[in-house]
Amino acid sequence: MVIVGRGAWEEPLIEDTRALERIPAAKEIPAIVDYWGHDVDHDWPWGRRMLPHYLERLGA
Amino acid sequence: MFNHANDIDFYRTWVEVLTGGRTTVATTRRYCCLYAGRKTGRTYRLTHEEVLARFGHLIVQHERIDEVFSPAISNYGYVMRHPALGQEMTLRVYGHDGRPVVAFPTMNGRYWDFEGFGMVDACAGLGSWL
Repeated sequence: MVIVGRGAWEEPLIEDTRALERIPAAKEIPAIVDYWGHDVDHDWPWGRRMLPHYLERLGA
Repeated sequence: MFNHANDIDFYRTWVEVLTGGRTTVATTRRYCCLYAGRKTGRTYRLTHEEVLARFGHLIVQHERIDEVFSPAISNYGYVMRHPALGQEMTLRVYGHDGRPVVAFPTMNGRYWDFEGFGMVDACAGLGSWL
């Protein structure tokens, strides 16, 4: 599971995420790779929304 | 680095926790573990050979880093360990049962940041699952 925003301070991490995404895809390993919106910054307020969202998804 | 710090197989721990909810792997944390990387094209005070000659007794692993990770952790990495860090590290535990979740501090962060920035409270609504 790799989650990245597309707002402030995320630019280099988006490239990394795209590169990382290709590895499980090539090996046909299921992975969740999500790109959040352009308003989603690399900062705690978004982390507070992301963490419970994905924990809940893991538990489902 | 977990493996080198504890002399364990962390992947086994992961599988055990996923399949059985707990692990039989004991973590004694015998060693402090350190990662250092170098980037291609930069000039460093010591050459690779000099690093090995000077710190070889501490280095447990050194290898080229896959380019996927290079922007974050450089092109060549060294993992070192020693029994004495000379500093205590802190682990904070929340809750008493349920699925374990491990959070690592961000770069230059401390153990209280996760709670201080509201990440623990943000998950309070998941009580039935956690």
